[in-house]
Amino acid sequence: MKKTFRHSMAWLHTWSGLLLSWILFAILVTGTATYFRHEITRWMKPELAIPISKNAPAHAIQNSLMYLNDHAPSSENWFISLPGDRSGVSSLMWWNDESTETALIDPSTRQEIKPRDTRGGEFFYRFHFQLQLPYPWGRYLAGVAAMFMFVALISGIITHRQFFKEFFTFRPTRAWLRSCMDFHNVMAVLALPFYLMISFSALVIFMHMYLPWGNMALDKISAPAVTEESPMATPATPPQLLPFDQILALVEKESAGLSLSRIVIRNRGTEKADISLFKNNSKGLSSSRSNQLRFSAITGEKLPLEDLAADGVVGKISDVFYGLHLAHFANPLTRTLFFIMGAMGAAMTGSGMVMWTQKRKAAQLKKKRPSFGYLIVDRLNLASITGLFIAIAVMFWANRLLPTEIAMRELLEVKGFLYAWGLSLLHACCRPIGKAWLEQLWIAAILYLGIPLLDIATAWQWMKISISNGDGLFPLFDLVMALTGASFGWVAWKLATRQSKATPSVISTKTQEA
Amino acid sequence: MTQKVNTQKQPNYRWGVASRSLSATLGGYALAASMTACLTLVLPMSRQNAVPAAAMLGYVGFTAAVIWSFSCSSAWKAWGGVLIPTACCLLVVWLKTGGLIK
Repeated sequence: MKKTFRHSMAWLHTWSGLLLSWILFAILVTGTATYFRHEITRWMKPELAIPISKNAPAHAIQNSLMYLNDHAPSSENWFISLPGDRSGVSSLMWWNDESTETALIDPSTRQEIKPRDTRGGEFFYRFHFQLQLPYPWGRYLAGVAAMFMFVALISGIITHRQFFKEFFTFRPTRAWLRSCMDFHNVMAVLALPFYLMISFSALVIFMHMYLPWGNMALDKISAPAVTEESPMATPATPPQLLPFDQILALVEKESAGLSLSRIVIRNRGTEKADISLFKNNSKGLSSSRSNQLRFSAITGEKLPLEDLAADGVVGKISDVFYGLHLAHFANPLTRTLFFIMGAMGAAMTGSGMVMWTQKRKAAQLKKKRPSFGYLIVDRLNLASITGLFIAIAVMFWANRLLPTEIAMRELLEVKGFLYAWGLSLLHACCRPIGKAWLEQLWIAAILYLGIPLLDIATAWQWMKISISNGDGLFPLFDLVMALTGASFGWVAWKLATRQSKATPSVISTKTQEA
Repeated sequence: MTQKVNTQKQPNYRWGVASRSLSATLGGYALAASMTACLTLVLPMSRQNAVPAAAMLGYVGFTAAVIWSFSCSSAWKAWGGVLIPTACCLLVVWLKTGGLIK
């Protein structure tokens, strides 16, 4: 299309990078936060300040099962998430007829704990691939964004063949566009394998949704893989479930010496009743389902695993992709590393977005009226970079400030997030863009710097307990918030000095990387 | 730079970009979908292996289609380069599912 292959790829990199960058940036930021979703949940539900330990305490299994036996004796399915190194409580779920009931209990006392009504870290997890859109459109949009990211990465690599050389050329003192470009390149090169892995594995995770044609083609020539469940014969006498104390004894015996993460008892009251024990998966990379034990809840004998993990090599590869993307295997250090690489990915995307406008600024300012596309991109950049961070901060503030007893509280927090984001876009469109950047950067800085103070003012009673348990959650979370705020403040301050130096005509469209 | 601005003003250039974009997105997906179906049937593997392998290669095909669409010399070539392999894959799928080839 252009003179050379590399020029074409540079063009492709620019446009495939820009077109969905506003969505991609939000996906990257929320996905990065998702690495610590359990920690975010614990911060947003401070009432759960209970000591956490590497392994579930021995009595946790007993208390969880006894709670369900007391409160859900007739439910068909019980699900127990045991406390572990990322949560101090037992999380229980059961089905009552059509509705799902949940409870969080203190594993030592079997007391139910009722934290404030909030989505917690789950919000980021869900937003990351569903974007608050109705099913299945959010997932499709996220898939399109992942494909764009993958294309932008590949074309970017082709464009910057010499990226190793470029990696060592960071010129922060040079012209703004030059240093922005260097920053973009450094961010890209430092964690390139991570970006390739994260975008490709995103596509692999949802491959049965995005490319269902393989199974469909096979179904045409052979019987479908999933055999239909044979209608369950209703036995004359309902099968006798093992008495509760025997189930308890069985689970305790089989779990001795193991570190369990979940217990699932399904189909209680039918002849297919079974007990599954899931071991903590912290050894392997892949999210394989093989670390499971299964027993009949009628006879107590060991059953084969029904959900066969992929045996083949390729199946294992896609399992590894899945596992890498979710990083459930990771210990805190590795998870922090993934978090940093995710944040760098967001920084790469953000600096790329800002570069697009910076490159065109000089040409646009010569015109009588800058083109509509240029104006739109500049404003969308502001709203999607700074606006998103403001929205997240507003959600954290709402979490601490909204009274705990109001109805639909968790929805109000999400609404706060969405309204704040909308307001940021409105503000970006109404104000001169240079001023708008500066104002929003300051707002973000103040909101994030305020979170630690807000936390101490509103949640000190739980923070106290948590810290005395030797848990660093609250101080660390607040530290990250303060650092985020400080970075926004630093960028705002840099931008302000740059704007005051620049000639007045330049001020109106000046932007800065966030 | 000046040359680039000039070419961008020509209507032909814009139509070319629009046509290539469609070839890269719609054509690219068609190629990925037909490759997935075709390779699943052709690859000498069990279903558990063939389905993910074919889908992963389908994504690679998609990426190749996008790169091809924007790097070849004319928009017609862009379409040809994406649709001809798509048609070949579909032919194999049709022959396979119709039982015409084993």
